[in-house]
This record gives sequence, structure tokens and C-alpha cells, in this order.
Amino acid sequence: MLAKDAPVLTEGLDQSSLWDLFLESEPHPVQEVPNGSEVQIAETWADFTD
Amino acid sequence: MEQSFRLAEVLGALSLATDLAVGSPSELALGATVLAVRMGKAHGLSQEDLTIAYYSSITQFLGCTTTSREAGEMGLGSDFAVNHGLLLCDWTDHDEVGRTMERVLPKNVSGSDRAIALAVIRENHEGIPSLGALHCAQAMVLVNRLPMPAGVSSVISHMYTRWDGKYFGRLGADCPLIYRIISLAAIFEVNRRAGGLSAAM
Repeated sequence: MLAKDAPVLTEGLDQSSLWDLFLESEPHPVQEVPNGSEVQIAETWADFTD
Repeated sequence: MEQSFRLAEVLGALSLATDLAVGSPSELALGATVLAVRMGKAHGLSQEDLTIAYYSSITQFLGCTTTSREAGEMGLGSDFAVNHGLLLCDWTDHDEVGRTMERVLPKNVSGSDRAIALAVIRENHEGIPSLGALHCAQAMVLVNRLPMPAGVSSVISHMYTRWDGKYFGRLGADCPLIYRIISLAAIFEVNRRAGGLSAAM
């Protein structure tokens, strides 16, 4: 599949609008994060090495 | 008024930082994700699975800075060179690891230092999957703390699994199809950025 379809699959990946292409690629429904959400990834370095 | 942020914008921006932090080509994760979704559609994935593929792909490199210190030591101070080289080669192939590192390691160092670094990497290449396992573990820790669609963490847990089981013993055939698609898309995009479409093929 790749050999035949690679040019189509990769179309636009080298353009400056890749960011827009990335956002347009999100399957629907679009996922959202409510305003005010807090995501605490880690409190200390030890959290990363648990 | 209650306002929401789009999760893709937050994670896309984070992926730009990850690309920069590990020395990958800029927007690598964005490109790999677009490609993964296109491959998934071509393969007939459901909308739900495409969503999991999208978020798994954009977050798969989140843990890759975990071994930057070790990569820097291996690469004569250039963790970027080692990280990029390891994306391009088969870690189980002694000769390929050597050839790739010969190409990417810094050249502005003494010849003897370079020769020693290359020899050390070649001789210890069997330990490279253990570094990859740390990337995977760290990515899972971070993904589990982000507001991510269900199923993403499970896909990320298969990171770096090979079709023949040579890295971790798990066979690629035992991995979810979603993981196989995002993995193929990522490797394809890494090689396409490095050498064009023909190199990726």
C-alpha cells in the first residue's frame, strides 16, 4: 500500500501549513479541555521516576 | 463565559517542544500524526480508533528526553546526535548501529575520542532497548496525567515494540493495530525527513 499511496499520504507534510493540517486531521468530535483545568504533571523530579 | 481549549492545540504545541528537546526535526510529531491518521483511514479504522491513533501519535515522544543525559555521554556531548541516530537504525544490528553513529556523531572532536565513543556504542548496542523502555515508561506516566481519550495509554505502552520481538520480547503481531500504524507512520516520517520519500520507502 505504501509504495503506491506514499505520495498521497505525505501530501502537504512539507508545507508551512503543517500545523493547520495537524488540527484538521483530528477525528471528530474535537476533544476539548475546559478552561480552568489544571494538569499537574509532576510535583517533584521524583514523580518522573516513580 | 465558559471557554474551552482544544486539546490538540495544547498537545501539538507540547510536541513542538519535545521535538526541540530531543533534537528531532521540527514538527516531526505533527507530520507523523497527520500521516498516522491518513494511514488509519486508508486501513478502515473506526472514528474512535482514529481518535486514539491521533492522540497516541502526538504524545508518543513525550518521554524521549528521559535518557538525554545517557545519550549525551554516549554521543560526546551531543544527545541530539544519538537520539536522532537511534531513530534511524536497527538497534539490534551491531553494524548498522555503528554505521549510523559514524554518520551522526559530532565531527568537531578528536579522532581518538570519536573512535572510542563509536566503539563503546557498538559494543553496548544490546543495552539500547533498555533506554527505549525508559522513554516508553515516562511517556505513559505523562499521558496518564493528561486529559487524554481512553485507550491512548494502552497504545503508548507498546512503544518501540518490534515485529520480530527483538527489542522487548513482545512480537509486533501482538500489538494493537493502532500502535502498528502510529509506529510505521513515525518511522516513515523520520526517514522521509532524513532522506526524502525514497529513503522512507
